[in-house]
Amino acid sequence: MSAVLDVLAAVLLLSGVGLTLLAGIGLLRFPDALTRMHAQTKPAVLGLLLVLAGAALDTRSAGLSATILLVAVFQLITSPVGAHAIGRAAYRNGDADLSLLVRDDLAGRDPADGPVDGGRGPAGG
Amino acid sequence: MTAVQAPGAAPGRRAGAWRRNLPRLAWLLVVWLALWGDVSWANVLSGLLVGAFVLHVSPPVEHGPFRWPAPLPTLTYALRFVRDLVVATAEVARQVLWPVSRLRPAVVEVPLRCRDRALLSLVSNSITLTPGTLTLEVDEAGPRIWVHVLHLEDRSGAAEDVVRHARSLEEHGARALRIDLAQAGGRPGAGRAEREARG
Repeated sequence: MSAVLDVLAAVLLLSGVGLTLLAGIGLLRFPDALTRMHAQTKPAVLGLLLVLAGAALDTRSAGLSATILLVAVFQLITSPVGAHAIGRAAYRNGDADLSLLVRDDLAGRDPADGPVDGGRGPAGG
Repeated sequence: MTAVQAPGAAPGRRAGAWRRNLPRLAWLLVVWLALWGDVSWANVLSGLLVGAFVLHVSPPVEHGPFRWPAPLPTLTYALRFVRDLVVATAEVARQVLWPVSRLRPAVVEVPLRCRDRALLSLVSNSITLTPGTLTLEVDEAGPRIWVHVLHLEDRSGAAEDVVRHARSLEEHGARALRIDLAQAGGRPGAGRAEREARG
């Protein structure tokens, strides 16, 4: 039983690490800030979740698992918020390559109008 | 905010604040205990103290009374989210490893129906972790969001599919948070005008 759990933990850890590597390659290969954010969110988050699951299976301690669960929850909450903040800043400052866009519903909004949400920042959950 | 309490009824208001804050205190206690990874009297007591302090110094909560989410829709939302996250990862992986064609990124405006801040946060966060999309801008007053699409397929209706996906997430999330989308604007206390009136 313990051997099975060990193997499962190793598989989870390795796939998580693989996905994190993939996110890194994505960061290098995608053409601009906005497309890179896609690589920085989905595979990176799932990769971390798998690593955490592997760690929980490996330690098999209730206390550590609770802390690990907390890490997972906060990663799910903060990673998209970070990507949102970076993407938004990149778009507004012209750091994103807008010529790549095949369609841009935000075009024509004057950045001088200020933040569309009135500057109160991301909504608190 | 149904005006049950007369203005100046300080004790009643304080009792209301306690009722609202009690679930939040419980949640902070759970986080505290999970951080320590151990349930002991010392941890429970220090957690209650720290939690009460955090609630005392944090700004007043702007999104109405605390409500427990509906269990079944919350579970199905979580399952759907996990499935979406796996599909999203697979899609990004494919684009990274075997780029089939030139990427066609796009920014698409998605009109939403509910101004509730908790639901808006849930939907925008979920969209970032689900296939092909990333929340770029949020207009609470709209309510609407703009999503960045990694690869917008070159066919008619592709943008509409993005909108439909986001709106179906909103519907699902509304069921989980017990929000009636038919009353557009969300639950009381969530409106922008009311927040500004309260200053």
